[in-house]
Amino acid sequence: MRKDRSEILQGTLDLMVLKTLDAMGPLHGYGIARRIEQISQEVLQINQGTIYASLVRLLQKGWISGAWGPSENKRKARFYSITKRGRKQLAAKAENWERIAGVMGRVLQLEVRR
Amino acid sequence: MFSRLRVLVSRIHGWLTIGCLDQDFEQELEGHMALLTEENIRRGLTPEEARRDARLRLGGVTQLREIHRELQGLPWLETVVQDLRYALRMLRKNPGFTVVAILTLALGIGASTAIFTVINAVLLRPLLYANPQQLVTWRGNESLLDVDDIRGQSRLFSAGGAVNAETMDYTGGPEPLAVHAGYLDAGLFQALGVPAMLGRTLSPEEDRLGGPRVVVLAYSFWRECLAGDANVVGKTIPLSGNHYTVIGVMPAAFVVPEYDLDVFVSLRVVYPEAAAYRGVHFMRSYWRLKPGVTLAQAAAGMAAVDARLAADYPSYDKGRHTVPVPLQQWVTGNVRSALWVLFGAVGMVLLIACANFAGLLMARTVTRRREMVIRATLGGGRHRLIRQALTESTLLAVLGGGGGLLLANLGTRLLVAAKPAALAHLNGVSMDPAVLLFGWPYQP
Repeated sequence: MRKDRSEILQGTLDLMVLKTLDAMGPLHGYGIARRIEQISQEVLQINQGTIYASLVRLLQKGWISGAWGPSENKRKARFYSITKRGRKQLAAKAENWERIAGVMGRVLQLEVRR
Repeated sequence: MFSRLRVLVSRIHGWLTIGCLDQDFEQELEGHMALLTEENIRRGLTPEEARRDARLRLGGVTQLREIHRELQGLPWLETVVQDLRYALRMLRKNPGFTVVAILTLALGIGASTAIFTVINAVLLRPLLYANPQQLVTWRGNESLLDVDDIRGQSRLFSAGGAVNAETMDYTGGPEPLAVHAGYLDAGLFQALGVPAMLGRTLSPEEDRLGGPRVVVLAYSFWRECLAGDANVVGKTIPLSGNHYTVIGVMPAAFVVPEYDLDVFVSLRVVYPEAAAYRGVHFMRSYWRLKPGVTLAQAAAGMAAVDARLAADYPSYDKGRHTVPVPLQQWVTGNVRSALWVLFGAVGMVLLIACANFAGLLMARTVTRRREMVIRATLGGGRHRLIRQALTESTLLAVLGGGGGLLLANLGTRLLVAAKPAALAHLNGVSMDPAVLLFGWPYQP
């Protein structure tokens, strides 16, 4: 594993998938994985397969839905899209995440006093 | 909350359709792999390298499949089923151990539950009458005329009545049947304060010399001999050569203290000679204290009544000494301490049984060390192994507990069938939820 890549925090992948679907519209698993990799500028190390676990979790909660359709290479692929309920969740989770990130940032910038 | 429910429903659905979902997932992975490979080829890799890199970036397919399957289904349920199956196999493999362990538990639980059933019925369950604390009785029996006088002379009781058990022949069935008949007076139903389930109880107008032949039925008699006929009120049944009109059926919970009775008839109607004779004191009497009357007041009041009766009827009622006793205490009096002692003894037996059971399990665990080590080596997680062991002992405990309840049922019946004199009034001894609850926590 390359040293300059970060591992994904548990639970954040679901949020990333949700946001990606919200921004890009319906995508299949490969598309989502590629998109996240690109946006992270290849910093994040993900096994693209783990996307599917995340997709199952989101499907089960009813935050996304899936439908079969033809992919770019004329194969059958499952396209996922965010649901109304998913959008609501996304808003709440994103806000929470930003709050935590803000706190983390401030904490890590504390001046060292000896 | 709602979201969790959704997930559960979806998992159950997934568990039922796991085959289909697997196929879908396979197809999805395949498509993904193809897209990755094409991308790699576009980047200039040879097809061979492209496929290799795609596999790497996708991750271990077997592992993905496993995670996917676990997410979709009900892994804990599958594990439980798997553990149970294995546990059953292990128990079958060691029949000696299994039988001894189950018997040990069953005997311990059975004996203590049986005794507890009796204790529950006798000591813990309150009497089933309205305001049972108002009910009193006394040692001496009464003649019906005395009962009338006590009712008339004292201001202590709101109601009172007397009963004596006799045998009557019921000839309405396929064969003649000897039934237990309560010869009583109408006051008894008033005193006990239990209304009829169907129809009504005996009225004072019917309860007189030369009154109509009417009968009130006990629930069990009504069920067994009259098939629980809902329209029985108003019909007649033949008893000892006479026809009696059914006026009511008592509820299942109703018992006359100390007796096990099938039918209730008026003593004045059935046996006028005895009803009119003061000399034979043959009836048990039960009384309901007026609200606010204490036991001491009742004793004092009865002393006065005794003196008056002795003065009026010296030849029949001399030397009366009536001491009212709360009915609950009367009914349980002699057996109370004996039952608790017995319960203590059986409790010890249960403890010993538990100790033996634990010892058996321990011995077996030692002999299975090898197996456990092998399983741990093969990747059985610590939790998984503990869970497996717990499943096995729980299965044993459930089997033992089930056997125990069967034994308890049998034991209770034996105890009641033996009809120890002290438990003579026990008609209502049966296992109820409280008893099952008692038996339950003993399962380790």
